[in-house]
Amino acid sequence: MKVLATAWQATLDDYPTALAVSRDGAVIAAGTASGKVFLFEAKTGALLHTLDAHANGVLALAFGSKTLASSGQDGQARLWDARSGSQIAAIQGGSGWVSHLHYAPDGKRLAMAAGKVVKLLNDQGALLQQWTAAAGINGLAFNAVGGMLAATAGAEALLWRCVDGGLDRTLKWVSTLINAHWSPDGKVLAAGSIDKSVHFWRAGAWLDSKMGGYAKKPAVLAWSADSKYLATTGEDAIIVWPFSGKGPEGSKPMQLLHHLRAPELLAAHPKKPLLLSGSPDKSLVLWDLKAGEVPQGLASMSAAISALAFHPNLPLAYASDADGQLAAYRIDP
Amino acid sequence: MTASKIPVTVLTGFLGAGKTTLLNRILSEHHGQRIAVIENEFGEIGIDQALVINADEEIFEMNNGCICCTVRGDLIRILGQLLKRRDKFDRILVETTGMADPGPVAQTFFMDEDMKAQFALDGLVTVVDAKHLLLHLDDSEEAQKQVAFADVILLNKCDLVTPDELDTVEQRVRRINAVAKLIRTTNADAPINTVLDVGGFDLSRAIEVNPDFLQPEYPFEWAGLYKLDGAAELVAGACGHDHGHDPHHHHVHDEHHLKLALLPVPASGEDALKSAADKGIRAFANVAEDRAPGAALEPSMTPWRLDLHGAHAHFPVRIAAPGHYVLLSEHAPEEFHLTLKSADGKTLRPVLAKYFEEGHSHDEAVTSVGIQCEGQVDSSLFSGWISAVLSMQGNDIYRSKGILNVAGRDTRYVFQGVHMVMDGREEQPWGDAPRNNTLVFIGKNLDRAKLTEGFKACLRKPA
Repeated sequence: MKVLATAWQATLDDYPTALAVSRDGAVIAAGTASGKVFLFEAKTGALLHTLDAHANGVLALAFGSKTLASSGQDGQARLWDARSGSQIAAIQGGSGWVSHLHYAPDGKRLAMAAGKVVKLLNDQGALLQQWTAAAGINGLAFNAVGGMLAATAGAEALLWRCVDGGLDRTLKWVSTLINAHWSPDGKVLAAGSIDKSVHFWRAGAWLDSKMGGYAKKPAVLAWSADSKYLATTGEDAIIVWPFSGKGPEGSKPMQLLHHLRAPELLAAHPKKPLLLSGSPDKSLVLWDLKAGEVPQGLASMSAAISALAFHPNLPLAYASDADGQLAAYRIDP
Repeated sequence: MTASKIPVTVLTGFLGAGKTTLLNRILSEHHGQRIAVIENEFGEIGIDQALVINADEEIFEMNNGCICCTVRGDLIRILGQLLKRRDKFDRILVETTGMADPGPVAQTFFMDEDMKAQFALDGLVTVVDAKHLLLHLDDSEEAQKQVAFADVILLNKCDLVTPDELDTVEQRVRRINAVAKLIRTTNADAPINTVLDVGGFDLSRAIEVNPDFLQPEYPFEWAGLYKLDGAAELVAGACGHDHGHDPHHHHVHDEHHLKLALLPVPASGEDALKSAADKGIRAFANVAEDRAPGAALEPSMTPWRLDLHGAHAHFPVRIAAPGHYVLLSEHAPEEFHLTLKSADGKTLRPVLAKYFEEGHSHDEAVTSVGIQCEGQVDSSLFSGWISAVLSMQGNDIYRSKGILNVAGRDTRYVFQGVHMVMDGREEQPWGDAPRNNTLVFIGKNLDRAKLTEGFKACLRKPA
């Protein structure tokens, strides 16, 4: 098994809670439990900016086309210029923490969720739409064209139209849904449930399909860039459902087993069918979903893995651990 | 409690009962510790160094619609983030609103794998306002549940009620939850060590202090032992509201019917009365036969249901032989002007009589059932039995706790559960202490006899 070589390494001030790489690949941002956001040159690891972003901790990061958005336990989302690190806007979420933050595929519109409130903003922080669900938001996802925003709240997935704010439809399950992930091609919406199952709905028919048998709740899902695979946590192995051909109905999922302890983090490459998985056992593993159940690379950090990310163009993957280490690994074959 | 897990104390109670006062006292007296507070309603936290997080109560629901499987999503999210902080916490306090169901809060620490791995529920502390509790218990299922779920109950604002009122409140609380540590306070001023670290709560000692809940619930309120020389007559009448009864003894029941049984006993004396009472539990479980006025009554394990329409009804009592008999009555005899007369019309007085505590079954929906016995528990029989009990009755069983003497083990096996979920572990060795088993169930519709019988079937037969 190939051990991934370290390209660069940095030490952060606290537990890294989120990693995000800019769309052009120039910058990687790391947010920590202390509330700071560090911006590094993605290729070399040179520190560019340190932002005092959110008192009591950063919860989420997302890059737009020219902006970085961050959110945290201070109840705010903040927009930053991705190059200069200067703050563009601060937006109050709703009540409590701002847990979810996603840019539309165009990189110009941002959705954020705090408690039961979801806001849609432009890249200057101006409010475009606002919705309130009946329960707290557990997941948020744009569809491929960015015209529709899905939010899971309680046992429902709410599909809102961004253009007029209308509720397009409500997809119901009977147990609380804990995340939301739209396939990159926009054809399938998937969500994990607290009842240890994964659900998906195909756009158009919108019939509920359920994939059960998990040992734990599938807290993290990741779609491959080609929308052909959905990787899920909730088992010792990563369960990967095929969505090409006949789809997962009646198919056996791939089981990617290598970590000593069940992986709790997944990241899919934005362009290639590559997957990174991270475990509390301090290990991270690189998988090529086309190559099947054989791991492609391995690295070990000094504490539980806390966040993962891929570089969009360069053969680099990033991981952080609970001790505050951030590392870039070479993933070229 | 496992050393590495962070203890969680849950504070419940109605608004104004004194939760925030208690919270502030814990925070100010525990300055050595790092404490994180999760609040669902705004209180005046007067301590700066504590991390206070406000959250909206959010129930995560499960497909089967079963309340036992619900957990609190807000707690999972917040506690998950707290684990990421560099400054680790020694303790978590969760303050819920007065309207919150304590079930999902407690279940979060049993059901969710991630929470279970990192946190241990130390105890549920319920603060009640002595002046308003009775009202709340009548009006609100939440108040009943908060009392039922508690490991510790602070009977607060004791200065605002008379000692008699306080006794009444305390008795009512005890009927719901017989094992919680009950502390009378005026300003939520309980010693902190009685509120925190109650994980090592001594169930056996609670039972010594309050042995009442081990008593069976008698389905009758009164038993009288009579010496009968021959045929007699039973006279009874429906009770009216104009007889100057103490209103406390007036509860809602059918005023025109009365259930009775007459059982022969071999001799006079306390023991005879007691054995007849125990036999009476089985007799009262049988379907009663209706008896109209004038119909004869005979000693039998089948009870009678007397029709008492009209002022005074007379029923001839026939016995096979002179001797001692125990009359068991569903209600206190004075409520129905119940008397026995000899053939020559003289009123017969019982040689011995005993009142049984009323109210277990008909006043209070939520009660405690305690089981205590010697013997060695067969662990596989027990786990089969307890999981069957909890899966079938878990909706109604709020809490279960126990200390068991497991066959082949020298340490105490301690378990506790919330609705359908439970968690057990081996604790300190028995040493020279007498080995016995203690269990308690708190909830609704509990069948003491069936639970006791079920548990005893898990004991190893003596060789």
